[in-house]
Amino acid sequence: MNKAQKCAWFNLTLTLVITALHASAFLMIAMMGYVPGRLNTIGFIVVFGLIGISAVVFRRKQKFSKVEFDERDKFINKKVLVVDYFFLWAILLAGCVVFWRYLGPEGTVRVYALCALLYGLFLVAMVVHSVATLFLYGGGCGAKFGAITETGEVS
Amino acid sequence: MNRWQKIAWYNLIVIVTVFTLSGVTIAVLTITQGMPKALGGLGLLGFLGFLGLTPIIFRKKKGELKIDFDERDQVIWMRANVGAYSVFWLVFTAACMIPWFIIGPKGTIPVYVLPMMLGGIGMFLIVVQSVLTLIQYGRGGKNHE
Repeated sequence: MNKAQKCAWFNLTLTLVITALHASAFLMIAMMGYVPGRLNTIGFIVVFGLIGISAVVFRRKQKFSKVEFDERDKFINKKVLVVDYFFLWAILLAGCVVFWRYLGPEGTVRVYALCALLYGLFLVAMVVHSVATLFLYGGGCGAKFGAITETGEVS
Repeated sequence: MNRWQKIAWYNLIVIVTVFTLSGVTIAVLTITQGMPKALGGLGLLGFLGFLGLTPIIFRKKKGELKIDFDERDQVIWMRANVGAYSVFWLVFTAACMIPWFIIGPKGTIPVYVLPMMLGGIGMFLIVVQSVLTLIQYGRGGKNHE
């Protein structure tokens, strides 16, 4: 497993844990009844800052003789970003349709909902990015260019 | 000029022309008829639908043996998309946060603004992507080979 894959696993795990925590917090608030103070529990959003640690944790070169980021990694990275881009557009358009369907064109949304949308979109982007990275290393591009083994050889 | 450059130029020309026409119409109508009626000039934005004609106008001719999309084109296409993606985050974050500063977090905005916002961002990104495509092809060798 190379650096990009480790980063992807780390980000994916963290994002899913944060999403699960959010979902459970909202579920509990819904079950116990809405009290303004209870929304403060969502403050654990701060844990998401751990995502910045991946750059530090995985910064060390695995082996000095080993190439860390070659043409193939570059290609996969670009491909992942393009997948991200198209996926986010689909999500945003779907979001607009949902708002339109349930609130109607004359309905209104609070401005802070836009910030929540931005945050949600970022979470989705992290998941899509990580999954696409893992998929392209494991399948698609790996099969096209040859998978790279632990010793750095192309199979 | 290859097919992808033509498409980029076409997109740029359509978007710039339609927005200019719409802006001029709104300005003229504002002077002659006043503000609420002047917004009718936004209807000209419907001409952006011409962007959808690119696959028909720039389709590959039958029996043409020329390679249409090689590795270089693929890299350029990807780079243009990655550039647009970077700009997307910038523009989308601004679009979500600017209302916060203007009308405050507890203010409300109508739902119909959301598709308009996305449409505006989409048009802007098509412009960015087209410009990036043209810049990258422009850096090539003789006759853009």
